[in-house]
Amino acid sequence: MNELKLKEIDITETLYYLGFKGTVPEPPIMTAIKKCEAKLLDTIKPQYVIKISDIEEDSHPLIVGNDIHDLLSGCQKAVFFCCTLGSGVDRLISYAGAFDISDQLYTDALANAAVEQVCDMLQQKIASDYPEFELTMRFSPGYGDYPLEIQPEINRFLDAPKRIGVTVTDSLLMNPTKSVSAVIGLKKRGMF
Amino acid sequence: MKSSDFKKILNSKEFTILDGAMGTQLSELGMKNGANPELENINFPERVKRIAENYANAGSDIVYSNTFGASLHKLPDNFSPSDIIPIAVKNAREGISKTSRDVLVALDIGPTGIMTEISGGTASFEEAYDDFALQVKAAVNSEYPPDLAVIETMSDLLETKAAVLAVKEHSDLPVIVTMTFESNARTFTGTPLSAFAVTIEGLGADAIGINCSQGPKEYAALFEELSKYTELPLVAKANAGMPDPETGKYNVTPEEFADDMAALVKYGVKIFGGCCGTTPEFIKALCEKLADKKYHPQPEPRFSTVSSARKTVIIDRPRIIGERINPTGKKIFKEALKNSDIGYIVRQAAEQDSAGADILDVNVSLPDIDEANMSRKSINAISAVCDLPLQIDSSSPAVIESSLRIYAGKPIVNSVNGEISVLEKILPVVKKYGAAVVGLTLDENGIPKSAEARFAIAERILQKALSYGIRKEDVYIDCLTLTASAEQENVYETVKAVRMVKEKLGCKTVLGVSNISFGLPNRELVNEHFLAMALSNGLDLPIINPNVSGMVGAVRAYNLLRNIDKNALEYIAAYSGEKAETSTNKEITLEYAIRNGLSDETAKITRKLLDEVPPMDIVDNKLIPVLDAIGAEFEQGKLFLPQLIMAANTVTQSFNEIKRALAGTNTESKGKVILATVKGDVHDIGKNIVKVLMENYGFEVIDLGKDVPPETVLDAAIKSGAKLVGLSALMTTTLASMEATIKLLKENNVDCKTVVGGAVLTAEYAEKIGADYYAKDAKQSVDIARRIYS
Repeated sequence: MNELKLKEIDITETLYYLGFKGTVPEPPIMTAIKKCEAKLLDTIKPQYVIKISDIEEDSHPLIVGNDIHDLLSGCQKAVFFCCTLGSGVDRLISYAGAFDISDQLYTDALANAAVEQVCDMLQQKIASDYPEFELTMRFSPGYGDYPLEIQPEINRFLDAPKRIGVTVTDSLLMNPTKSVSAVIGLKKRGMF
Repeated sequence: MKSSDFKKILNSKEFTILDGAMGTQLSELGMKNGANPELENINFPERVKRIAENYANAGSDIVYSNTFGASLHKLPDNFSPSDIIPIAVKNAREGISKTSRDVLVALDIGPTGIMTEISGGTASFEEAYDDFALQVKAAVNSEYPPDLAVIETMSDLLETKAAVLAVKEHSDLPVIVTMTFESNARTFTGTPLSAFAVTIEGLGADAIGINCSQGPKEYAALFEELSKYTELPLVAKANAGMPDPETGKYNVTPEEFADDMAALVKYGVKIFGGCCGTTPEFIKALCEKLADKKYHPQPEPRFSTVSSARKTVIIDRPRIIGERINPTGKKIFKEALKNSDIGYIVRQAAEQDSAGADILDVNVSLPDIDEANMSRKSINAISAVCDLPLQIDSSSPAVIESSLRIYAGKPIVNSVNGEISVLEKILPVVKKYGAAVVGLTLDENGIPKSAEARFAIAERILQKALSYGIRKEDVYIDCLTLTASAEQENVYETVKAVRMVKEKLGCKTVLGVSNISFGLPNRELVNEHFLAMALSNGLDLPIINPNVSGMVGAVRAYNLLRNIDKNALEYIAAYSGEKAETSTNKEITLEYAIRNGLSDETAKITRKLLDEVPPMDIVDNKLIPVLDAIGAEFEQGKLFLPQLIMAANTVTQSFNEIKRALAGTNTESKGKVILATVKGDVHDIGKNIVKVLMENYGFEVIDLGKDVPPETVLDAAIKSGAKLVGLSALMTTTLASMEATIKLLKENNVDCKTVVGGAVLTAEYAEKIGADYYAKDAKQSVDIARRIYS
């Protein structure tokens, strides 16, 4: 199965999402964050789906806008992926909110950090699966002029609802909310 | 006649063979990458016909129409299900007609494409239902109706239920239902196999099973579990393993596939097919492999179960039904209902869940409110957050039916009684929706005194239920608690009746416990002893307040003493962490406790202060100044959001103590504020932060929740008379609903101001959409509220 395992969550990223500007919060807050991390690690079930297209000849229907064209210029392949922490995370966040808004806030920030970590792990996996290629940065709908409206198309292309249970609402929200879809370009090493 | 065709195939052959994948076959025959598969029915009908023909020749007894994505939501904008479905069924029929075999055509129904609210999506039950109903009507009203319906690749139990009801209510087609399960034996939205089985069998499906997601090897463990919960024929339609990300090719061969699928026979699988990546070769191999195998029917499960979408509770030991979601005698609860304060109700659910309840009773009846609507809203909101199965509690048959309809799972209906007219009204509804039901041992003559007479009513209720096809395991009898202060001589009759029902009738028993002590001092003592007595005499489902630790404790102790809680593991887990309250010698101030998030200390200091200082003086002279100071530091960038929130949260402990001290006296709130995350948006943390801070400053918050339609906000604003409405949105795509909500309030000349907030908002944008105020953070929202109510 396309599952990934996360052992701990990046605390620096988490504090950044919580708005601590480089300061370390007092012990009670750190303890509370650690407690939320344990629960979150119990709940998350990172999964992904990947499809790789050759993009040298034809134009690709999912590559729309100047920014993404610039990013992929010189690339031979485009990797489309979608990953998610699973629907349990959204419920964990809501449930925490019924008791303690602080826990809800921490869990949400931890989950944001976690989904980025999952993206990083995936990126590393792609790099090791394709050693003869260099990777561009990952680029998601909503960045620059890459329209958010492409989100449902990418989702369909990846068969994400069937494969990992990710859907996109009419208002273009991803469900589960802690999910990311993105494009990464692959460029043959030593070319250009 | 159609239904008999399916039954004939099912009964005449050892196994029924379905088809394999549609999408990969279409690609093989030339479908362009990115093309809509359903439009192939119109543009390239020969391809679709060929696929049906190939599967029929390979051995399929049933082929699916090419309509998996023919929902209104998934089809391209200018197409409706009725443009696609009749042609698709016709194509399948023409394809199989080229063979000499007897093959049926199934209407294939896939997910709508958006999840329901309980699974984090935005679709209501009705929206999902309407979409499915369109598909079913398009199929049955055509020249070539299908022979059966198949609902497949489902992940959301409520959506699945909507699809089953749409098929049942718009056709007489038999229906096969398969959901998609992961290796953890749950769907993506968290539904376990057991909840799927008891819910969908209860709705009258003809066969249930699993499709997609995994290869056949992984299916064995799933079917071993699924077969425990149903006696229906099981369906397996696995993928050909996993696809390669670059080539899209699947990694299991037809032979491996057939071997692993045939191994599922022992779990009661009778209907076999293939999902993603399978081809006619897979179906052929499957037929050959199954040729000398025999169907193993599963025994009927003889136990009582209830379930939500994410949790199944087997009633094989005492299970606690939490009674707190009920306005009787609770002023705050009544207010919450009047104000549609969903947040309050969800909190009651979550609290009881964490206190040890197994099932939650939901009663939201109050004169002057639309009980059916409130019940549906509460059930949806609770189901989105809390996993416990629910007991729908109302005296109105209309409320019961409309709540049952939208409930994701197998609930309990509370209640019917021995009156024939009541039984005849409610039992058919219980049967239709596959629920369990509580029968009260009373009738038009009231509650009989003797245990024997109550038993006679229980017998009558059971017989009637059986006559409607409700299983005995789904009838729970309530022998009714009478108050010891008024009818002491009858207390033991109740206990006796419980024992008789359990032993002679074999039904599960339920009892509201707390009534016993009404009118007596030290009620908890009497409640706990009565509970222990009833449990010892066969009570299965005590309805209690799980927040009272002694009541949950009595159940835990019973489970320990009766050797149900083996090795006392649960008992020890529940109590070993408890320490005696330690008193710190260090003198700490209220401000220090609040700033450091010391909740217990904050409560303790507040209690001490209450001995000397009038409650409202503590609020005005102690709490508000601390909050103001912290708020100022937050604005100056000395403190950050988590610290502000931790302090706000800790102050809540203080307020709880003060509220307790003020109980009975009439306290004025600083004013009402409505809060909502707008329609289409499900991000509610920002809104929740504002709520906590507002409450700290004494405002009465009416929390409408998330994904709130403009009409609901309007309604609440008019009813409550709140002078401030706070709206939150996180996405640029949902700002339009924010604008629509403000516009609706203005058009209706509601006398209130609006304040908006959210990550993508700016002051300029707020002004553009007509908001009165923009708040960049929670602190500013409070400042605005204070200004408005000053």
